Amino acid sequence: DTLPAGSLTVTADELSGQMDNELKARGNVVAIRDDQTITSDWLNYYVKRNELIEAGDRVHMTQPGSDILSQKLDYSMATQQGSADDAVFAFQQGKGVLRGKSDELKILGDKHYELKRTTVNTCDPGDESWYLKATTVDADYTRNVGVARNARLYLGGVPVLYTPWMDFPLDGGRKSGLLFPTFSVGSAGLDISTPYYWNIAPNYDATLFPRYIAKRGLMLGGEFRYLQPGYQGQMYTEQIEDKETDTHRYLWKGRHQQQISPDLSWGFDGSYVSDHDYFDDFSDRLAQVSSDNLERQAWASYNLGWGAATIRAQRYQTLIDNARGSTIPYARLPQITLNGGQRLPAGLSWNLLSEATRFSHPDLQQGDRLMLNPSLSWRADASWGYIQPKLGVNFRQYALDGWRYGGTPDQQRSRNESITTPTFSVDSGLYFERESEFAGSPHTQTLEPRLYYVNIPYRDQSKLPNFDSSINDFDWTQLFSENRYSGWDRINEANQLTAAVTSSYIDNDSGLERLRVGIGQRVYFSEDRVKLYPGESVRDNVSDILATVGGDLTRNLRLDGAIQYNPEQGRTEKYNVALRYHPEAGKALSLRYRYDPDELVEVNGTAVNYPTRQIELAGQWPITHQLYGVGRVEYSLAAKQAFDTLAGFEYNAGCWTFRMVGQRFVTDIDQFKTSVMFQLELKDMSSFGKVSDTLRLAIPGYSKTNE
Amino acid sequence: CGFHLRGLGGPLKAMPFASLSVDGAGPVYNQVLVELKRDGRVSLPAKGVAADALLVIAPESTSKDVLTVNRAGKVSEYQLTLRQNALLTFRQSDAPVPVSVTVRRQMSYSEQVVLGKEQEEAQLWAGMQREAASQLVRRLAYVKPPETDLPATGKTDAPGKP
Amino acid sequence: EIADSSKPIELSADRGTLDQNNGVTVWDGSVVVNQGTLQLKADHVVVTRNANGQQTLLATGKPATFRQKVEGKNEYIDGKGNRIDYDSQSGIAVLTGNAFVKRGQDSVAGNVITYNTQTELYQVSGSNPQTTGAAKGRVTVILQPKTEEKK
Repeated sequence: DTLPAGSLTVTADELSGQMDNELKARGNVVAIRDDQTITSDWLNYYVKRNELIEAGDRVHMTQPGSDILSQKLDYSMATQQGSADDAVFAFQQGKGVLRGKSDELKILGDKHYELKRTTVNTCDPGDESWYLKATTVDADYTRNVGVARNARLYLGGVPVLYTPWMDFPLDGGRKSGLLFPTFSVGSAGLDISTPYYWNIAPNYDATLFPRYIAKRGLMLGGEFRYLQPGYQGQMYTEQIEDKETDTHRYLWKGRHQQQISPDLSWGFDGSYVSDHDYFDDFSDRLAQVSSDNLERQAWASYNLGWGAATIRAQRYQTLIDNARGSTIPYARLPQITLNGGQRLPAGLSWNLLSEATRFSHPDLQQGDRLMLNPSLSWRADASWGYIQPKLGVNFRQYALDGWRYGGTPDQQRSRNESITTPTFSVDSGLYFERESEFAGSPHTQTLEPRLYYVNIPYRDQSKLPNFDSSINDFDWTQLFSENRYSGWDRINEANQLTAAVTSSYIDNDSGLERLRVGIGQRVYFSEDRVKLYPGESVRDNVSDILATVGGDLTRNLRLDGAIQYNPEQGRTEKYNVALRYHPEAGKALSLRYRYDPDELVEVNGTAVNYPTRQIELAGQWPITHQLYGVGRVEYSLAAKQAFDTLAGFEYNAGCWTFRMVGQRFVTDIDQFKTSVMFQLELKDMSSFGKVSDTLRLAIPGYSKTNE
Repeated sequence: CGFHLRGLGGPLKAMPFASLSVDGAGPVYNQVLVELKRDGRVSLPAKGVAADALLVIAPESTSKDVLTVNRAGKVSEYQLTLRQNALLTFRQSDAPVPVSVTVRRQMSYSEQVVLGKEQEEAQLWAGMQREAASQLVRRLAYVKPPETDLPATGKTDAPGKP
Repeated sequence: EIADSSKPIELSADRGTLDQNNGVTVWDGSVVVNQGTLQLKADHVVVTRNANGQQTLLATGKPATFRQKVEGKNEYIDGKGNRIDYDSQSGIAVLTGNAFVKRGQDSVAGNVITYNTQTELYQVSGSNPQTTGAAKGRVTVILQPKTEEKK
């Protein structure tokens, strides 16, 4: 007979009571109501007092997601509230488990508990490797948030940290409260930062980073994030009175994006530092590696349907001492762009790129540039191929200020320049297929020849400045573009035909592209007399041959490679090859080799050519089923130096994971920086240290073992 | 050597649906529509008109990571990665089939030509979005329709556009 | 109801015998005993009357059953057990041998149930007093949700 929901069944050795009023049960009492079960030595039940249950001496109350063992339990089934003394409990929701004991456990409602004078952790029963001791922990599983007050963290029984307030996710989610301290020891001495996460409101939060650096003193960092339906953004700053340089040093970084109307949006982003060496002294490797020029810009954009109009002001802070000339990028104060296009009937479509920009610079020539580039193209497609001729005209109008420093009298006068350049190109390709085999399973092999002809007449641009142009890498994308320069200050002369063919093996079952090989070359029918700078070497009659290979040879093995061969001098210009093996999470190996005889390297402001023969080996591999080794080395055979060496391990003990990584990397010619970083992650509770971010960048395919 | 022009010498691999509606936003979404129109094997009914399958293009996830460093400790190569996920759901089955494409490019970098590299990167991203869209459309042909024998009546004759 | 114990007892059965000297009557064969709203059915009933006229019944059956109306409500109490000892004066019934009492939706089960039909107090124990040392029997009560008391 199925009991109606809500009925209470009490089984015991002895029972007495009064119908419809109260019940007393003695001896191995088992009380079951829906999915709640209470077992105890004795139990009283008072119908008239909110269906109150009193149970004692070894009470065990279980229901899905919660298990409470205590000396004495009072629980009202009507209000689902109650309290348990000397409780040992275990709560579970999603992947998150919370276990521990507390002097008093109050049940505030369904799935909402308050633990008084309690110790909790997220480990298996009996595992006391770490625990949090707090005066109160409020665990609200309806909101998946636990809040601990007056909490001390014990590692191996030793108190290591105190916090008056901290919240943490209950369902194993990412939102973590206290970001524990980050320790690192390196050339700058001991470096500890103890971030505090402050959840101001559902869509405003902040993280405060007090950070102590042995040689430099106390730095205050803070990040404020906001996310609203119409706008979002974040502000980040670091401020320090640097003991060593006795100066106030700071970093500001911000981003804001706002949608004013469905079509109008604006925003700004950028970063700024107090001095050129800021990143070298204070930040982690990634920031040092990629920050000679810090961008700052504000923009507004209007969507026109067929295109978009944008106005922006952008400039860079160049972190190179006494930088001059082209080391400092031009600032665009402002730049207005209008880009768009539409498809017309009969395969036609038009496109417009246009821009009006005021270029300003501390010492180089300044000026305004207007650029209009409308184009018309027609395309015919069939299952076996396509053809797409395209006709465009590029109009440029310069209003140049006179040179302020040096230059001929002619260059010192302001002047105007205007140049109109028609451009014509035809892109065409055929698709061939046949059924074939690859690694024993049926594959479709494709063969796709492609011809791309470009014709652009010569225009003398030698008197034009170089505001925003540079020479693109000679790669597959460049093979099929009209202009070998980016930016609009140079448009190359062209009467050239690019011929290329790609072939790939496609798994008939999964559609996975197993292997793709491509080879292409360009034939120049006339010489290109346009140069970006006087000594630029420009090819004539044939270009280098480009060949690329790439594909998932197996589900776990990825091969990528590219080679650029110079047929005229019979030598290889550049090549690189990379193999990545990633059988499962926690196992990843990658090998990459790069060869480039004359790579451009800036040595504080001046560009020098160095031969580059660089090999990169990186990997994450399990040593035991709990201990993982991680390592990376980027070794330059030419410079006979390791630009980046990293080694470390990751120990995953179930409810805590410890990572330790040592890293030595180059910061300037023959200058290195070393640092040792720790990271302890307490399962679902919190993590401290940013080691996992460093590893994710250093080792392709790296994955945290406790994810 | 056995090669034939696609769709002429042998049967063109049919799409597992005759009509497809596409949902999403962003450059790859726009390019997938262009690719589907070019491909011609599938009809694209207007919004609201029921189609044999629905393709939802997720927002693209891009990352620009330092690939190699030069002897002065500065970036010499960035790796641009575009991960595009999409979900294909056949009308009569409610289990969406995930289809995902990853496109990678390398780009050399120099602090001397910041503005130029900014535009070169933009061109690389545009090329990656076009390739992601064409690989996504090509991959759709290999998705297995659910067990119920859906009449795979993708157009087999390749209509030559004028 | 409370008033039952002051009501006369009517009794019907297939066979009845009277033992004059100690005032005991024995009834056999689908015995039915009525006292006010109380009705007891059993296969074999022994009625004894003591000096001041109080009657106690001992009923056995497979099982013996009794039914009584609850004071002030149109709900009934049903009880059954292999043996029922009922004291009409005090209204206490002792059911022995897989005893079961049901009142409305609530029910009590066990080896021995002592039930006071007037105060509705009950006592249930698992072990049978005669067979000491036997395995402890378990007793169960099932209380339905009090719909009217639900918030």
